[in-house]
Amino acid sequence: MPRSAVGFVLRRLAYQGVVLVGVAFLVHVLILLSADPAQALLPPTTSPEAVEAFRRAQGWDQPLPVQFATFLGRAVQGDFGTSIRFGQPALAVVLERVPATLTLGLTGLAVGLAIAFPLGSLAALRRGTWADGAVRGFAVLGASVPGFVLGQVLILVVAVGLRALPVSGGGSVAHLVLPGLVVGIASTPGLIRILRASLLEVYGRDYIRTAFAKGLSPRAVLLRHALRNAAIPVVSFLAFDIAALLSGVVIVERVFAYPGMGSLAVQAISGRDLPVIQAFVFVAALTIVTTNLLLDVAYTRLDPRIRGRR
Amino acid sequence: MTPSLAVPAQRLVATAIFVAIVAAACGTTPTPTPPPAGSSPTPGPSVGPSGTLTVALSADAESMDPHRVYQKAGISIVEALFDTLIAIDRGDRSKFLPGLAESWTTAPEAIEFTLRSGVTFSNGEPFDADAARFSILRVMDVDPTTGAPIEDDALKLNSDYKRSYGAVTSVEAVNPLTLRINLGRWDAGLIPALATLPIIAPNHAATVGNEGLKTQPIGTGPYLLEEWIPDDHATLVLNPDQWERPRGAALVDRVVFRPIPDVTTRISELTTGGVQIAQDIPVDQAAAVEAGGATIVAFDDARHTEIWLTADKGGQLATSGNATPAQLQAIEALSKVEVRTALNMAVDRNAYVDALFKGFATPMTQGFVPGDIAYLPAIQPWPFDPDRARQMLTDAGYPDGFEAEIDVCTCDAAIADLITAVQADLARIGVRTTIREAEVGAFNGAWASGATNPMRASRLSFLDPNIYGQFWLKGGGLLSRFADPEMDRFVDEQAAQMDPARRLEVLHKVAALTHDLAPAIFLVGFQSVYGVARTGVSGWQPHILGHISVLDTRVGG
Amino acid sequence: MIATIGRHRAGMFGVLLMVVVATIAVLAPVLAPGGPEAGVLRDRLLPPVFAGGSWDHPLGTDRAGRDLLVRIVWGSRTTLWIAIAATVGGGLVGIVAGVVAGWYGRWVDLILGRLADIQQAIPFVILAMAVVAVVGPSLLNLILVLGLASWLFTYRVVRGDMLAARERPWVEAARALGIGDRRILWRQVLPNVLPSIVVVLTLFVPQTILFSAGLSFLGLGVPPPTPEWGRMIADGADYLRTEWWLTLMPSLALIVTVLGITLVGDWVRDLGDPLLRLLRSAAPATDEMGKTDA
Repeated sequence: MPRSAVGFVLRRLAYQGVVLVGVAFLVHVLILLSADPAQALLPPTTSPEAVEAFRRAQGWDQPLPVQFATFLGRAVQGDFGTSIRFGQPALAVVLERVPATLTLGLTGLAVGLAIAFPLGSLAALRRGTWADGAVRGFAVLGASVPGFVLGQVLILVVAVGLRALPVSGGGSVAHLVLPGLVVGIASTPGLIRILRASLLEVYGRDYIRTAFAKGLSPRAVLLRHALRNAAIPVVSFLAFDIAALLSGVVIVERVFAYPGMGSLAVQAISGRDLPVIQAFVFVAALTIVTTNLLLDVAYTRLDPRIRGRR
Repeated sequence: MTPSLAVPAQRLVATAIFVAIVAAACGTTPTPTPPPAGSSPTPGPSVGPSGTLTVALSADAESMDPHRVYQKAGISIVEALFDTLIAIDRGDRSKFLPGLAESWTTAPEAIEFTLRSGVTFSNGEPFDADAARFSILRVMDVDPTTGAPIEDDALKLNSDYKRSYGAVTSVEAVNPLTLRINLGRWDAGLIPALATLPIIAPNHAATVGNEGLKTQPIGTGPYLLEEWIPDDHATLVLNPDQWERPRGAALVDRVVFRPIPDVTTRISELTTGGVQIAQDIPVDQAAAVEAGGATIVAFDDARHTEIWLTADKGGQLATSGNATPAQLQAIEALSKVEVRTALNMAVDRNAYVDALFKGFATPMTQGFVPGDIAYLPAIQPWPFDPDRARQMLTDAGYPDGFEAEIDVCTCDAAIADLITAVQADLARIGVRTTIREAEVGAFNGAWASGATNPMRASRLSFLDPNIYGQFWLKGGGLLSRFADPEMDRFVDEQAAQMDPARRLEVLHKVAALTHDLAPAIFLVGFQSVYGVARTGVSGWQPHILGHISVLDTRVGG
Repeated sequence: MIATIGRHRAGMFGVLLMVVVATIAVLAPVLAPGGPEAGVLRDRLLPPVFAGGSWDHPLGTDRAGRDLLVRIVWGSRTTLWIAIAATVGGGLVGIVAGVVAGWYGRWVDLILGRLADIQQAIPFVILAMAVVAVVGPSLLNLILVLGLASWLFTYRVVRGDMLAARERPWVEAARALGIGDRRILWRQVLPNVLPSIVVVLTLFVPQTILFSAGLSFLGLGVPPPTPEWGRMIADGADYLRTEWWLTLMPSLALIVTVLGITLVGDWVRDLGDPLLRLLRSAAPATDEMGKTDA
């Protein structure tokens, strides 16, 4: 790799580190501001002295900066504290769930791209026809049906009606199909929209006209020249979308009782399991930040301008 | 669209079955509904435990530490892993059975247990009086070696169950098979408390500590925990070391508990055979469950719903200092018994029972429901009379009503519609309420911290009225928001009574006062509703505590 | 050309749909004078007229025996109010932040950029749950939380446009003439950025309603008895198996609204897609690489 690229990646890494610390701080403040966690965690019959003691034991009597510094010092070493619910290291509790959620997220992403690329291309190539209209109608539908409704309809039709797939749970490829579809479909409207617009723009450019002039078939133009270029904004969009994708996963996991880290996080917020919330947000942020980094790299490979500059 | 919707005939049949079950469930007696199939719980002697039973819970266990599990979902799992000294008859709340204790004697100064011999914990530790003593002292936050209360706050368990043991002065292992609990005074709530106290392996507990126990349960129970993936499943396998339990027998090899919070998904799993038993089926969905090929089992476990009213004027709330003027006005109004009675007359309980619960409920006339031992049948219901209620508000000085917030927990979806209906009824007499929804953490936190909420919706069930009395009804009780000297006296008096008949007399006085003083808008007692697969499972019966007991249940066939 | 005329017509249709929805929202008290909260408990869960119901309740009744049509009509007010308030409120913050960051740059840009990145690294649902846990659920708080989602996007789009505008020759010319920054901004730059803003807003209104539905599903929605489509959809979802109309009807209302807004947004977008511009130009890699090699 050229030196400048290495430097670029290193700088991005350092910057993303700053973002992670910021994320940790924000969540820390938010949660401590919420209804006294000690009160929420202990049974309502606990005496005030016991509540106070619990607070001391958790370090919640310290001033906020001290608390945060302590937390950060430990977090750097991978120690997010002990889960209040499970009595185990919080990071380990979260990491255990990462594979399931990652699989679901990636499946969703693959489904989203698999739907969006053909549909987006179709809409762009047949601009103004009924096909374009149908694709855009599909996008509107996708943008106005909440994931939990789609998920439950799919359960009722595919799992209950046809008995084709398991209703809920995790552990096998069959369990992944319906939730993966829901996560994927949720991101298609945005992807289709970007790809369609981007393709239309690319088709207006000189080199495409040149390609046609050279006698290349429309199919070859699309696959060899246009799509590659049109993919650049799609890649950027994914950077925006990855957080939304994770949000969708949180809800989808609940609908399908899918054992990922989203359902863990929802439980942790209700149960005020602060170490787990912190560890979850850290892992989620790390995922998002890493994805962005990877997309940055993908972007430099796709964009001839940037490659040229190198 | 689901196929089951499109076929009216099918729906009709389902409705007919459904009506039949409602009729069965809502007969004149509060006895449990007969189980759907294979009602003989005693197994044929030749058939050993076999098969896998899968149960859908509406939430996951808080943890696997039985002394820190409070919700019925978690208790379902814990009940299969542990034994108690005294066991509960699943259908009769006033009947106690031998458990790890073969027998016991009670006296005002002590309870003495004769323990079962030859029982071992699943890690090989023997069960004896020391082990039993360890569990009791653990929930009391008493150090078993010194016998003195634990001072270091970090070492305390702070179990919710601690509150039941206030009368205990010491616990003695007289000999390996004799356990004596010494009392400072008699407390009628102790036997029920001990009947719900799981006994854990003491050496294991000392080794892994309070934190380790959250994931590593070791008991003497009929099942062992094989695997727990929180929020996904807990798999239990048969304990090879069985003894004949009066509370029921383990008849399956494996039990899988799956927490499925979403109602639609839970029902779908049931109707497609993914699970055999499902907890917390909304009454509205009963017809769909029947149409989908499963049976509805409704059971009155004396769970009741009410809206507690903050009547504590001048008490903790006034001093908390952060009440808004509207909240202070509401609390002032609610401190008048006429206002509280008016609210009780403004709600159309019969409409709730008919429309919302399709008959799986009874209107409350007092703080108890027919399944409670303290229930007093003679009490007349509050009339539903909005006009008179409005007049009473006017007479009390609130011709324009007042405003109040009702705290509702999102963890209890079953009462959401009920509270909405109550809100509409109260609005008709000028009491304008805002529903404040909070998830369980914030909900408990707000009430415990003496926050300023004038009203709070609750759904409660108690094995014995004592804890209810001590904590909800008695002035200064930790969850109580009103005070009355007469009520306080009766609550203490019933706890001290050893003679059941005389205790009942006092309890009836408490019941009468709950009507007269109306510390809450008592709404309805409604039944727990379960869905059970029509084939592949037999013998299952609901439990009086509202959790799912897997004992005496057989799969296959 | 034909396509453009088709677009034009679709855009007009979109405007028409939006006008209809807005009229319904404004006229709710006239259309359904009884208000959305009146209901007869014993008449709950009645089917719509095409599924065997009566014309008393053309779309059937909900779980509390309230007329579903009336709820949807009144719900349009809450729904649009939340969506517009959150989008416009968040949008305004995003516009101001974007203008300041893009025009003045330096440390303001640095801080706002970091803030945006930090927020973007937290899944929104989790952030929303944490915020609601702090401030408690209410209509206003819901708007605030949803506004959090929309400021970010507006900020990024506007900042990108501002960066581009700053380099334009006519802006430089205006500066050379000694025209004040503020005047250049108001007279020259903002009008050019306006289409972007309109498009971003039309993208975010549906998004906001969907977010609101998702939060309702997690138990953090608009408190009852106020009708709001997102919450109605979420509440109805428990009854999908039997009383499917409880979910379908408000969903249809939502789809019609989203369709209207999308068509209008597409129409405006024909002036040039700001989102696409942003995605093509403002990816962090470009900035950084540019600096590296400069």
